[in-house]
Amino acid sequence: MKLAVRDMSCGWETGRPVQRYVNFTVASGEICCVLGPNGCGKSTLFKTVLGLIPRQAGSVSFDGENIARWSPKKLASVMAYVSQGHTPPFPYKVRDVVLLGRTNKMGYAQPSASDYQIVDNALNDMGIYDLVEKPYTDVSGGELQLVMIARALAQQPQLLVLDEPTAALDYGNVVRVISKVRGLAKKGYGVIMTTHSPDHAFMCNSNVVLLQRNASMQFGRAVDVITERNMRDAYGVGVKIVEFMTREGEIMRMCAPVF
Amino acid sequence: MVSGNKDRGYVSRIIESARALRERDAFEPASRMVGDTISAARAKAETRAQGKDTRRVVIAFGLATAFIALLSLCLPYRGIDTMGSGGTIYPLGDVLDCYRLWFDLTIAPLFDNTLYNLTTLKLAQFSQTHEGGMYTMVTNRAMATAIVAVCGMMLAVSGLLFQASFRNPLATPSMLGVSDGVTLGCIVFAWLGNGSISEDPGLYLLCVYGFGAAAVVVVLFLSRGISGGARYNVFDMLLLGTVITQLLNGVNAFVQNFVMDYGTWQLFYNVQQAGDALHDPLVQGVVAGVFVITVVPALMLRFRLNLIAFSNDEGRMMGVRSGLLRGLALVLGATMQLAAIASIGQVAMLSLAVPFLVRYLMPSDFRSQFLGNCLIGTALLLVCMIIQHFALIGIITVPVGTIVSILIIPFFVWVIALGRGRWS
Amino acid sequence: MAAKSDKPRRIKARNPANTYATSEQARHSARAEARRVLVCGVAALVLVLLAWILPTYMFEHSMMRFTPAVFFDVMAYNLDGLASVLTGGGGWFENRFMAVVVCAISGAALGLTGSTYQGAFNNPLAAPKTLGVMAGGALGALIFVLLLQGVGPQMPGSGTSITKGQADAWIASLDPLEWFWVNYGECLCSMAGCFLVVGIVIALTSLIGRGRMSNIIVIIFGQVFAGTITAIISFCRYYFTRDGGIDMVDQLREIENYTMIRTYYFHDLLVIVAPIVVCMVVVLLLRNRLTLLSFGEHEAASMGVNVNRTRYIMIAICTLMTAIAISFAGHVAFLGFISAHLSRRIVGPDFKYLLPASVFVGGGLLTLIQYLSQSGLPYTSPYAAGVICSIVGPFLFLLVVLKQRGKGSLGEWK
Repeated sequence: MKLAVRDMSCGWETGRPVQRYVNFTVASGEICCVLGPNGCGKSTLFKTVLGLIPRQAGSVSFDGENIARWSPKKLASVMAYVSQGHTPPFPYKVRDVVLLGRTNKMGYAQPSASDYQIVDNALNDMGIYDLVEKPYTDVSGGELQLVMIARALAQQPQLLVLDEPTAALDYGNVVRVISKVRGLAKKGYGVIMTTHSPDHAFMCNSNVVLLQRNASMQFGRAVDVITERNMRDAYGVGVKIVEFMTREGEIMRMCAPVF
Repeated sequence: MVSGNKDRGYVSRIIESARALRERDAFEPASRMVGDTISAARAKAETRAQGKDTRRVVIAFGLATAFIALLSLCLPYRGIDTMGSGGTIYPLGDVLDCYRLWFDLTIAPLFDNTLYNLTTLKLAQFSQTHEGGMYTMVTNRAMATAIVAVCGMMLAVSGLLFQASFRNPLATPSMLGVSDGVTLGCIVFAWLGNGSISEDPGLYLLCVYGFGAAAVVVVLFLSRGISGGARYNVFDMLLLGTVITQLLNGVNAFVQNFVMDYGTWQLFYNVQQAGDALHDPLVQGVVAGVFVITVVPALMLRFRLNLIAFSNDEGRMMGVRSGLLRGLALVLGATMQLAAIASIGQVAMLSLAVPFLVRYLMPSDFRSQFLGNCLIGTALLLVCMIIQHFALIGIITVPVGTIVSILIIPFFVWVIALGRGRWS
Repeated sequence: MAAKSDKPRRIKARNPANTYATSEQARHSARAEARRVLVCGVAALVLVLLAWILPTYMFEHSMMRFTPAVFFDVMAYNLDGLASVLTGGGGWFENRFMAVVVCAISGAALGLTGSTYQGAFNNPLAAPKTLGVMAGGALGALIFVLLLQGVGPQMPGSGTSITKGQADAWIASLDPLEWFWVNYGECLCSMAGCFLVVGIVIALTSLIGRGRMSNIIVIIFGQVFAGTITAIISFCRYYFTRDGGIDMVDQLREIENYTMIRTYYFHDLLVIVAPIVVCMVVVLLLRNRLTLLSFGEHEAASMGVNVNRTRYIMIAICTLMTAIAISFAGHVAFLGFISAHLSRRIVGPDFKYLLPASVFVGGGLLTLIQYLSQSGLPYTSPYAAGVICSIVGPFLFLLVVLKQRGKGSLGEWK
């Protein structure tokens, strides 16, 4: 599975692109973090890649095929989207929410036993099986995020598109969500996510798309793109990249601001 | 990972979790993994228990509805003597004879053609042994009960569809102008026709359905014009619906009070309360047709219709065109309420009230809500019909619409007090 | 770190987001909105004057052409009437003048109530009739017509026509309490009905919310009660007037469209106009709290507003205003909804300017509608203002709203 975005321009109004000449690829097992300051067009980029906003230039291809003409059904069979800031309209039970992710695969039939099994598996993968009968208006922010990701997993996609999955979560929940995302990549999913913290990119060992408002984008490995100079250009703050060794002998990096 | 039946899959999940424990991720706290397997077992037990609760609710209400339907069929049948006041009450045994005859005349011939020729003979024999007109009365009431049950279902489901689409507990089709359009249709019919539905059912249906549908179409058309494109904005629709409803109210009041003479107004009132419509075969046929056209698709789509409560983007990324689905839900809901009001009278309050109760009793999943609304809507409307049977003031029966309105107040107070903690 | 240069933003004619780079611009915009309120006030005053001056002359003289010479004639005619009043006679001037004043004040009260309810419930669909006030008025009138008409002193010779002199003599012979009942009995019943229904709705809501008033529940109960009462009134109208009770037909008919069927005298200034003006002043004094309420309950509470108490006070005062307006001037409550939205379009969402503007817009609008309903169109009677309002209002609304075509959702609610 490979998603390739070539020379794409995106924006809300025609003739006024927010981002231009965006190039990146995501393959199975890879995580791609989209970083950038507020208002530089991260969500716009996402919605354009997903086809929710018309593309202004360039192409998005999935396994070599241009997805411009794909129907929602076909697109939903390979990609799943977790939106930013989901507000629950009704107190659905967690199981019913995740079951909705099976809509595409089920067509017009009613849910069968295998659909319920897949739902249970998705909930268990996210570690929230004990919430299964709870109304999802009653769960905490972090658990809600995991429920939404479980719903995306129930869709059985090849690519996961997560818009700010760690926004408004406490530290423990942020770490929990990131660890789940790492696990999903290991299982073979491709993941694109936006995040506002460069540390998350380091934690996931991912590729990074760095967007800036009036400069060209950068794409590459986290260690290559997240440099002190790039952080100063993008966010306007001085940072120091710190390296340390974990128990298993891996090198981990973190981004520490310098005051 | 997944093997065989549910229980074996569950066991293999435990094994897999234990394996994952050994290959620990650097960020994964160990306690969480152990917590997974233990609470999964607990959750399994809880799931079975809670599923039972919902099933119990459904069975209880199903039985209650069936009992109420039987009750409405077996209420005392009162013959009318020539003086116009109530005559003798028919004994229950005779009523059951009527049903047996009806079965012989209508259902049995479907299975055995030779019985068909005995129709007139059987009817003649029956009339000799039982009071005249009883057969017609009993079969009329059976049909009326069936139609009322169907209309109750449609009213409740229409409220559910609208409240889910608009994500607002106050949304009903009458907010888009359905009931006021129907009133306008009744005015036009009282003017054009003789004011008697049984004489001219076709014209009645044309007026009522036409104006009711026209009101909704005007609201949708205007809201589309305002949003400047193909997108329908929910808030615009509600606001325009309020305004158009008021306009129709004004027109109705104007015509009723300043243009119509009193005789015509009396005719109009009778038409509006649709007392005769329920017993007219054409109206009954149309209601049955609308039921098949609207409720059956809603039943078939009952899982997908969950998605109308979510945003368009989310729906699209799950492979569903939410906009179309929502539009379909609105059209179905409006048609359902239109058919119900055309046959029974101004009973639009039920669309508002019943989904409240069902939202309290049953889980939010559309499939459960659909079932609950069908049952409780039917039950409530049948109860109103039963009350109407006894609500005689002089020789005038209180119309069903008025009974529904009066009954709704304590019903609503009770329902809202029930769900006290949930309303913000 | 290079800071972006702060260029002062150009002020557009209306800045709906109300964000300004400097306080200078904010003050400028506030002055612009105050100016707009004044313009509304002046326009309303002009409308009222025209409504007062023109019809009298036109109806008396069947004059349809309006030339400058006619204008002076009209002024002279009115001054004559004023002179005759001041010198002690009564006559058409008093009725005409008071009718216009009552009309304007009622419209102002209803407009104010509409905007206040939209603020208190934070819901653009709120209107004066939301709490069932109109249904309550109709209920009160129904009870009066059915039960209480025989109570109190009856005019002698009813059923036959009596001369004006005899009628005047009889009225002069009543003591004050009886006079009050004869003149205002039906209106008082109507007001009592309003208070009864609104009281029940609010009481139920508070009981269920355990002291807190929830927006949604209040609106639901208001709708439900209004629907029920309307159904009951229709049924009563049908039941009590079939086979021969025809003499009640006109009265029962007017219950639902109870509009301006009285003649108004100077003493009505005390009975109708003064209470409404007092209520309006109180509401206008409290208008800043409404702005705070529109941010949401919790935020308002944290800014020091006692949310519940403010709501109850606003509702009580507005109900009083609306009850008086409806009972004496007629069922024109839809006007409140229309003028609330119109004023919001003209002046913006800040209640400091919105409430005064809605007062003016409401007054001017009702005067205009009353004038239209008296202008001799076919099938209208002078008593049709409520109905005309329901018909003209929506078109007015659509006109204003369709002008915003393509700008997306109406208003800035969501």
